[in-house]
Amino acid sequence: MKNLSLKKVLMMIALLATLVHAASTFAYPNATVLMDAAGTNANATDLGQVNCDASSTRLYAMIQDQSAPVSGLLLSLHIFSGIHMTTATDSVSGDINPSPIIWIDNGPGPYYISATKTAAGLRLFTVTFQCADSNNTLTGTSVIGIQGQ
Amino acid sequence: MKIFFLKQRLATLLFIGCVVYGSSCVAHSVGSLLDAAGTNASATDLYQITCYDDGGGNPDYLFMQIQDASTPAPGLIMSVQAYFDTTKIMTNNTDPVSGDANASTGAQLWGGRGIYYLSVSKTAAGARLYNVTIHCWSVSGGSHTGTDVNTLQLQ
Repeated sequence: MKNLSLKKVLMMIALLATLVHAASTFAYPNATVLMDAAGTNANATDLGQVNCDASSTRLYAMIQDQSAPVSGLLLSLHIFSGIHMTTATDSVSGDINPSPIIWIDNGPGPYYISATKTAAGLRLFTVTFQCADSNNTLTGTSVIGIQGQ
Repeated sequence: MKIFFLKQRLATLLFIGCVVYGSSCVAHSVGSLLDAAGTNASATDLYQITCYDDGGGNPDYLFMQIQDASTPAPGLIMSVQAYFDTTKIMTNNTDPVSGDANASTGAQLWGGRGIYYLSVSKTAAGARLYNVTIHCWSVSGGSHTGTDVNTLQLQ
């Protein structure tokens, strides 16, 4: 009986872990992009515009480099809006951890998010982004792709 | 004390640049100490560059080149980005070796006349001393043309 209860508890924990992982993976708007497919363009830059609903205060974003590590080749994400800009870098490529989360406060925006890298080389990455209000309640978020290189 | 020393190095670097390049250094380069405390991996400097015809010809592109003057640190690399809002185009340029005599390869953003936003970023926390050379260039005029710089954000 005790073993059965333990099994139930373990199954519940596993289920919750799955749900939490799924939520963290899929709940927020995101885009997965292949950058510098030919592997020859160190200046390659991808650019998108994020629009937030009128009640929004800020935009959060992070980047995850899914490609295998290459020495000297790191991916960064920039958010800029108005006269402010910030940057986050995924310091370890190919692992399960994204960059730190960055944000800019500029109301409904628009916000521009761009991905850059430090050397030539193909990179597959995912950018996750989310608008929020002053209480960090999620608000409507939409994106328009502008430039893909 | 460390920050003071780094600022002295920056002043020396800019002075040498002025001596070497004459008056162009005043209007056509920007430099600063980014993340002086060495704790802000997100630190980003931001400038507004206006390209206009000052008699040198109608501007075709913005040229930029960054030099990281700090000693190398693992995983810490500096880049410069340029964005042109009118046509929403952007490019990036990286100095792959910090502290050597070589700047990054030059990059151009072909936006023509108007306002560009130029930003300087890095890949990790750590104080970085940098210099960015910028020129608005006219192909038809075959020369450097009007370039104004306005600082928007220093971190």
